[in-house]
Amino acid sequence: MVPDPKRCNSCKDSASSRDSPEWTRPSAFPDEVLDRVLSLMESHKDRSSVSLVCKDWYNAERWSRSHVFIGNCYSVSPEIVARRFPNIRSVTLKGKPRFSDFNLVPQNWGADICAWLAVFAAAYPFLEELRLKRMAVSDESLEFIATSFPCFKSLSLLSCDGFSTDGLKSIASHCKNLTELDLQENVMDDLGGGWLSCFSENFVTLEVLNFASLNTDVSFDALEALVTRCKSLRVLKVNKNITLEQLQRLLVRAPQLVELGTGSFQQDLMPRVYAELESAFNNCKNLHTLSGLWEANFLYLPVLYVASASLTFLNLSYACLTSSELANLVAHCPSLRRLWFAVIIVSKTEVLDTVEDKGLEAVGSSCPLLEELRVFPADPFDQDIVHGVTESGFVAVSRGCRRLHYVLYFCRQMSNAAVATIVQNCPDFTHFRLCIMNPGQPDYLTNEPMDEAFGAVVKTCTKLQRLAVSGLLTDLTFEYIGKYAKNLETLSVAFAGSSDLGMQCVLGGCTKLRKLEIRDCPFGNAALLSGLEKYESMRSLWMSACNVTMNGCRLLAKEMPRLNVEVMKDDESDDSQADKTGSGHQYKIPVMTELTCTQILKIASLETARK
Amino acid sequence: QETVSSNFCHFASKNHQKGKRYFAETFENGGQQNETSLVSWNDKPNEEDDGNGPENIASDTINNDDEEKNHLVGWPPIKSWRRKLLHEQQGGQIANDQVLVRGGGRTNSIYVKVRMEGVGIGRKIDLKLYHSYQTLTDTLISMFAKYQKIDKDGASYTILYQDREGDWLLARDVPWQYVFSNFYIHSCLISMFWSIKRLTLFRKQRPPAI
Repeated sequence: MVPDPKRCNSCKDSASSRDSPEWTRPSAFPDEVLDRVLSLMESHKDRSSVSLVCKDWYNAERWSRSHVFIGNCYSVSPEIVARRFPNIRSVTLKGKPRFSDFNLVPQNWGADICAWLAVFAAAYPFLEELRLKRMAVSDESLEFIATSFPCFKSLSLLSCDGFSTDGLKSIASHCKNLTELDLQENVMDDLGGGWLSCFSENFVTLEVLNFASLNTDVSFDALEALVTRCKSLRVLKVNKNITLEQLQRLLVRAPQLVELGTGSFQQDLMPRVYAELESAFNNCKNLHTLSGLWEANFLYLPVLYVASASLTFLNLSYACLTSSELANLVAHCPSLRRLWFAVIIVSKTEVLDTVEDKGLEAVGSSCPLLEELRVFPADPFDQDIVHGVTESGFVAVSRGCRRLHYVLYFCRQMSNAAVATIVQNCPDFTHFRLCIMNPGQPDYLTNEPMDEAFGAVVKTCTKLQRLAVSGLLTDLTFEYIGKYAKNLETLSVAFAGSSDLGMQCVLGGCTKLRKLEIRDCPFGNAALLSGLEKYESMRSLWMSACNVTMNGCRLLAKEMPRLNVEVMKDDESDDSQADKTGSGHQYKIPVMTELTCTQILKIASLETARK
Repeated sequence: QETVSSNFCHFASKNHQKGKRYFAETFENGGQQNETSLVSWNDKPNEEDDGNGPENIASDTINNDDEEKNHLVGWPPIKSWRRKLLHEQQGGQIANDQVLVRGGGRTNSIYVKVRMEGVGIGRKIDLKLYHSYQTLTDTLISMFAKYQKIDKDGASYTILYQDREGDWLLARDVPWQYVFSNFYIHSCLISMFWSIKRLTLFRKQRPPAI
């Protein structure tokens, strides 16, 4: 079949020449086939690849895309997004660097949703969904969303800041078709629970409601009525002001729940009420996810056992469980895939359960299907408490849970040998985030650096996508990472490395690296500038308290004009002549790169070539 | 513990020095802001991080040069709300007898007064920490062993508890072993715990002197 020259005009510009075998094959798919295939494609990575094939595919893809993911709100302007994608219904936007979670980014840094909303209101009047992470969102913006998009259905705010419950009132009052309101970990002003009562009595469409992080009371009557009339509700996460008795009433109204976040899990109950609660849990046949459980303990947890067999995700971050309480609970959860909990120190004596690892041993023996484990530390700032989980708990889990692929583990001691054993048991890690809480702490058995531990991780876990390192580490760790971690996309480094070589190894060797965040490491300008070409393919780079200078940053900005290079001073003086104070200043350099710019430029060059 | 502290101080001072070093380097041009494509926060000094409002956890805002052996900013990498939560959950302090006494506003604990026959000093324990009669007895015996010479064998002691109505009942009557298997008895146990006011440790041979 002769290729249609009109259709494949732009293919002239592609790598293959007219006489190559590819050109003599049948031409590109008919439009209908391409459109059909594209409509099934949801992964934004796949879609980006599709858009790079040729002009036709670029156009077909951009017209068919309904959801856009922007991992760095400064990588592209809202106008460019609106121009390229005319039919967007759903937007995911991420703003501040991750280290803003740990107070390393100044207030009012940016990432305001406001400018985006103005463009969206004009370009996407039928917008249905907004998923925002680490964006600044004001009450005015929430009101704007509520009143500008008549089809609006789904709002998810994760780690955002700048709004209050007044903004929620706007959403509840105006979004008649709302299916999702998901609020997690936001820094917001909780002015009172009246917002929930703003949902009208005719409003029935809610499927997801998560207000677990709010502190003030909501009207229980309004909540109960809402839950009763929203028959499609599948996710309900209430805050800790909801009592056990109230929870029982909610569960009776919504036995179809798939995900439940309870309120306070401790209350002086009559036996009859206790029995009713257990019965309510028994009727929730679809419950897979459980969280909340504030103040739960061994007296009340048994009420859950009737529903525990089908649980796949248990988030015990808010519950103050001791090791034996945890052990008893997980013994009833054989289907568990994901487990989050916080270690609570009970005692130093031998009489009671003292070894917090015991809880993890129980996890290892009770939950063979476990894939994800997150262990948060006991009071992380109390230097007197030296107990907590150790490496043996982690090893115990790895022995019993061979499918483990995601771990976030805070501990106070670790050894190279233990980590080697762990990854031997579980070679499929995709996310390995180990935080030895004392900066620069060596292997507690041998007193050597932890280089071999992370060497073992990257050598054994070939699918590794995300890595966070800690402990005493020399450049050798980073040589290993650069050499072996070929699928690594995210790397977090703190108090580690010996010289520029470390960072250079990573930038040179990790071909798929997208996000690199570094603090308190001896990496300087040479390291920073060694990654010039690399930064174009990355989402972001963060360096703070390193040896980079302002001149280094200036040089980077000059060499790579398409990058956003930003320097933040963290001193509290309100004066730009920082030298006056004479105190040490740390220059933070979040380098926010133009993520999609490269792709846009490639397409632009095809266009100009055609002319 | 000492190693921990010294490492800590070492890092704090190391950062301090670091800060000073490249501070000087940065202003080698005499502090002039040249026209560059650099976006610098120097431009708006007054709007910067003065966020010490009540909604911020003041001790965690960006700071430096802390003389005290205090936390590194943003380390360990735990989100503010979670740090606060963990701190509240852990609560209390390690008391001399090495049993953690939970404090704080959370009604997580079930405190009862404990007295031993023949011992003038009473103690207080958190019933929440004990999952079996045996551990409760063992702990109480350890606790009171300082004050009186007692057999380490717990078999010669029994625990009485006084409920809301003032009646003394044998703690042994509570079916601890059924706690996790039978929810009805379990629910009675919950009622019992809420009504316990006092426990007393008595030697078995002698009748309790009430």
